[in-house]
Amino acid sequence: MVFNTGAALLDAIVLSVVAQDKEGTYGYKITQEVRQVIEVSESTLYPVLRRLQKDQCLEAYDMECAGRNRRYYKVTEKGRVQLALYKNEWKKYSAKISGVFEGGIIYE
Amino acid sequence: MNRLEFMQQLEALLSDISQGEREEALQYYNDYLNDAGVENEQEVLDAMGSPEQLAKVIKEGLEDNGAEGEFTETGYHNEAFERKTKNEVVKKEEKKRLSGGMIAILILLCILAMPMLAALLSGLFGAGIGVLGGFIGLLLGTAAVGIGLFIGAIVLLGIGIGELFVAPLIGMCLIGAGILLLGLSIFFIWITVWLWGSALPWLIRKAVDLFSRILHGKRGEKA
Repeated sequence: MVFNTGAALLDAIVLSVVAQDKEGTYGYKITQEVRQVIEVSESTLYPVLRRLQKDQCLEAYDMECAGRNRRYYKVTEKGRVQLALYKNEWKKYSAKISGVFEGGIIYE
Repeated sequence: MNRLEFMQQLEALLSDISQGEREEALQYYNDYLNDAGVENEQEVLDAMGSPEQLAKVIKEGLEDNGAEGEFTETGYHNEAFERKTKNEVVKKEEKKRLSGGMIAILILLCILAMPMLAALLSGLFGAGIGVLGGFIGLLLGTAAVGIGLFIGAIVLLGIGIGELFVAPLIGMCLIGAGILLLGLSIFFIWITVWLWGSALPWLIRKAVDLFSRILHGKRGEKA
């Protein structure tokens, strides 16, 4: 990967990954899924998840699993709105970049 | 460092943040290690770095407005994470990034210079073969001339001595010519001996010296 991933794009990727699981998902699984597309270390998603939680884009809850409590994350309504905004912005942004790559700059 | 020690140190390092935040973080990383499984535990701990580094990441995250840290081709970069512990790593990465472009340019230059280089090398190779061939020709040629003249001289002397009894004048002329040829043949044989005995070893020494100089740098100069 030669392109850098900014904080907003990482937020969008994390929200998108969490949104795939309607029942909510947990830190380890989120990290592994994010790692399918970008390189992140084991430790770095916690601050991102915590911030999204504080911004009320994610909600956390504990659920018992194999005799212990596990912290689960779920996208909130606000998170869904935010994700839709990110997706829309990404569509516009990536279309512009692709347009330049494939056919030069289009003057409107 | 095992998991228990790691988590204990982390907890101690997080004693200056609120209890809620501390428990939140500790639960997250405990969960994470549980989900990674016992077999991956050490690997994950290593990837997290030291408890100090992880504590720094957590605390920075608390003040985070979303603008810090960047995800690059070599993974996540957070200044707070690297500033304290891995200055060398950052420097190395900068060097690497620089040399990445340089390498591309060098490769391009090499490719562009390839035909010229090939022509130059084959030219030098050809010249070398030519000089070598010429020298071998000279070595063999002088030997052949020397031997030819010597044989001619012997033949002339033989005929001359034979003629001396039949026609003394012609015999004398032939003997004179034979002696002249003998002198010339001795001269050529002497040149041949000098070439084979002195010039050839000298050239071989020089060539060996040159090669060792090319191969080992300064070592050849001492030799």
